[in-house]
Amino acid sequence: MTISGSPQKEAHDPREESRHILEALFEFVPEAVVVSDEKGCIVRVNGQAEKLFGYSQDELRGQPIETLVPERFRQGHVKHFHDYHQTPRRTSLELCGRHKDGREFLIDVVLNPFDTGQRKLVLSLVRDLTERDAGEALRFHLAALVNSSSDAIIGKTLDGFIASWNKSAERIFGYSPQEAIGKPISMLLPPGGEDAESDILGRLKKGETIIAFDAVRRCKDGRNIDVSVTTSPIFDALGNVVGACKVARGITERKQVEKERAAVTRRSLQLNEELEQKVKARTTDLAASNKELESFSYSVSHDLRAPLRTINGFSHALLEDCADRLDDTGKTHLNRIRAATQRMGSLIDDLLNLSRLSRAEMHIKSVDISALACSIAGELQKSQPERQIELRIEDGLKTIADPGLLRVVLENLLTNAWKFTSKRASARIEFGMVNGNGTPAYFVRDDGAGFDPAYADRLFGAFQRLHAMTEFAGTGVGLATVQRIIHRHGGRIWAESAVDRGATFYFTLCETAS
Amino acid sequence: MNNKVILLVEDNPDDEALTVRALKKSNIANEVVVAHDGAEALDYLFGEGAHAGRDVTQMPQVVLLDLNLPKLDGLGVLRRIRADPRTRLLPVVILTSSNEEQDRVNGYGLGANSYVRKPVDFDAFVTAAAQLGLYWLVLNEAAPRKV
Repeated sequence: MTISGSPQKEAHDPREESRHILEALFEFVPEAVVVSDEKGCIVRVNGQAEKLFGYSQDELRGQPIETLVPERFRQGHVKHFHDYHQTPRRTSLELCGRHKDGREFLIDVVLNPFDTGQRKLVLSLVRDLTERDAGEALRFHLAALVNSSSDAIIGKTLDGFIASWNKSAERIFGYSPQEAIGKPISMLLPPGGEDAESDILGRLKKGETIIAFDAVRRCKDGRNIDVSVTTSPIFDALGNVVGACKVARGITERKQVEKERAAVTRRSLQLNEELEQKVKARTTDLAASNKELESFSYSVSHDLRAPLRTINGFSHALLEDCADRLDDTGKTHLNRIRAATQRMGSLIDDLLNLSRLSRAEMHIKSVDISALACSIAGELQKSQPERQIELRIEDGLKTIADPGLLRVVLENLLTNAWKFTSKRASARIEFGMVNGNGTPAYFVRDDGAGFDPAYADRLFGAFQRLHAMTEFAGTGVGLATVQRIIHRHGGRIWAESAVDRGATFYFTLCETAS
Repeated sequence: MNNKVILLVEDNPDDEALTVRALKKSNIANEVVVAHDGAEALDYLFGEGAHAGRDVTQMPQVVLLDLNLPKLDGLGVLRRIRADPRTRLLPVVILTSSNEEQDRVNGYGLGANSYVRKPVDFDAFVTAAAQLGLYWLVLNEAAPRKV
C-alpha cells in the first residue's frame, strides 16, 4: 500500500512524513474514528466510521454528532456532550449507535479530547460491540450447553487436576465445583484404579482420544458407579495438548437394563428348556399311549375274534350234527347267529383297519390320482362285470399324498358309489377335480340312492349308517376311515346329496400345506 | 396222503375242536396231535417231558402253530424249531386269529412256511383247512431227511 504524497519529488521532509504516518494511522486503526469540534459537529471520520454508520465522509462533515445515535437518545446526548466539554478528559462509555439505514447497535466509545492550538477537538474511537456480544453469547451458550448436558463434562490438566466441572458432574459424582476444581482427578477413581488413569493421561498426551470405555468411578459418598467415559485431548492453537476433556455418562441404569435383559434371556432359555422337556414328556406319553393302543388292537385282533369263531363254528356244527332234531325255525335262528358273527368279524376288522390307518406312518409323494381311480374302478368292474356303469374319470390329475392311504380313500368312495347305485339298471360314476378357493377339491359323484342331507353330519362317524342293512350292506366304518385319512393329510371332506338324486363326495389334500 | 401226524399247537379247546373238525371235513385222515402250549409242543417234537421216549425221528408232516400261547408263545416255539437241526426244515404253518402286520413279518422272518388267518366263518375255515391239507400233506415234498 502506498500512502499518497505529492507527485513531484521533494527533498526528504520529516514533517511531511510524520503527517503521512498520522494520516495512515487514522485510516488503519481498527476502530471507527470520529473527530468532532466543541459545538459537537463532526469534523472528520475515517473509513471504518463510514463503514460502521453507513454515511460517507461528505455526508457527515459538519453534521451534529447526534446523527450517529438513535433519535430518542439525541436530546440526552447533546446535554451529555455539553457537560463533557466543561471537563474534557479521556473517558469511555457505551452507547447505542445508529446506522444510516436505522439499524441500532451497541458501541463502545473512547473519547479523547485534544487541542490543535487553534481549537479543541474530541477524537472518539468507536468500537462495535455487536461482535464482542456475539462472542460472549457464544461463550454463554457453550457454557449452558456444557451445563445442561446430562453427561458429566470435566476438564482436566495434563498433570491430572480437575480444571472445570459441569452441573451433571456435580449430580453424578456429588462434588460441587468448589470441591472438585483444582483437585486431582484420581479422587474419582475407586481404590486400585490409579494405574488406569496414568495410562489414560499418557495416551492423551500423545493426542489420542479414548472413546466410550466402560469404567467404574467413585462418588463423593463412596458409592462405586458404572460410567461410560470418553476422554479427548484439548489442543491449543499451535496443536499442543494442553489439557483433556472427559465426558462421563452414568450407565448404572443401562447396566441394570442389561442385567435385566440377561435375566429375561436366561428366563426365556429356561422356559424353552422347560417347554422342550414338556414336549419330550408329551411325546413319550404319546408314544406310550400309541404303544398301548397298538397292544389293545393286537389283543382285539387276537382275542375278540376267537369267541366269534366258536359261536359260528358250533352253530355250524349244530346245524350239521343235529339237523334231524332242528326244525326250519331253529335252523333259521342258527343261520342268523352265524351271520351275526360274520358281521361282527367284519366290524372288528374294519375297526382295526381304521386304527391302523390312523397310526400308519405317512410317506408323502407325488401320486397320479387319475390312474389310481382308474385302477380301482377297473377292479370294481371286474368284480361285477354284469353292472351297467358309465365311468367318467378325469385324466391327468396329480397330487401329493401317501399313495397307500389315498388308495384307501378312493377305494372307499368308489366302492360306496358302486354300492349305492346297485339298485339302478344303469348308473354313472364320476371322478374329477374342481377348483375351490385355489385348493383343488377332488370329487366322486354317483347318481345312485343318495342320502338325506339333514343327516350329512353323521356320515363320517364310525358305525354311522344312513341306510338300512337290508338295503345296502356295510359296517359304517368306511367313511370314518376316509375322513381320518383326509384329516391326516391336512384336507377336508364333505358331501352333497339328495335322496334318490345321487351323492357327491368332495375332498381336499394338504390344504394347510398349499 | 401219508399217515404222518399233524401237530396242532392250540390252547383254546373250542378252536382245537373246530380245527380238528375242519380238517376232518376236508377229508384229512391224518392223526392230529394237540399240544396246548408252547412248551408241550417242544416236548413233543424233541421227546422230552411228558413225551420223553417218543421216537423223535418221526416228525409231524406239518405243524399248525397258534401265536397266542401260554408259557412259550408261538414265535418262541418257531424260533426253537428253526434253531434245532432236527426240526430246522419242519414245515410250520402259523394259524392264528391275528392278521397284524407285525405278526406276519415276525412269523415269516423266523422261518414260517405259511401264515393262515383263522376265519370267523366256519365254512371259510373248512375251505382254508382243505387247502392247507391239500398243499402240505399231498402236494408238498418234504425235505429229504439226513441218514
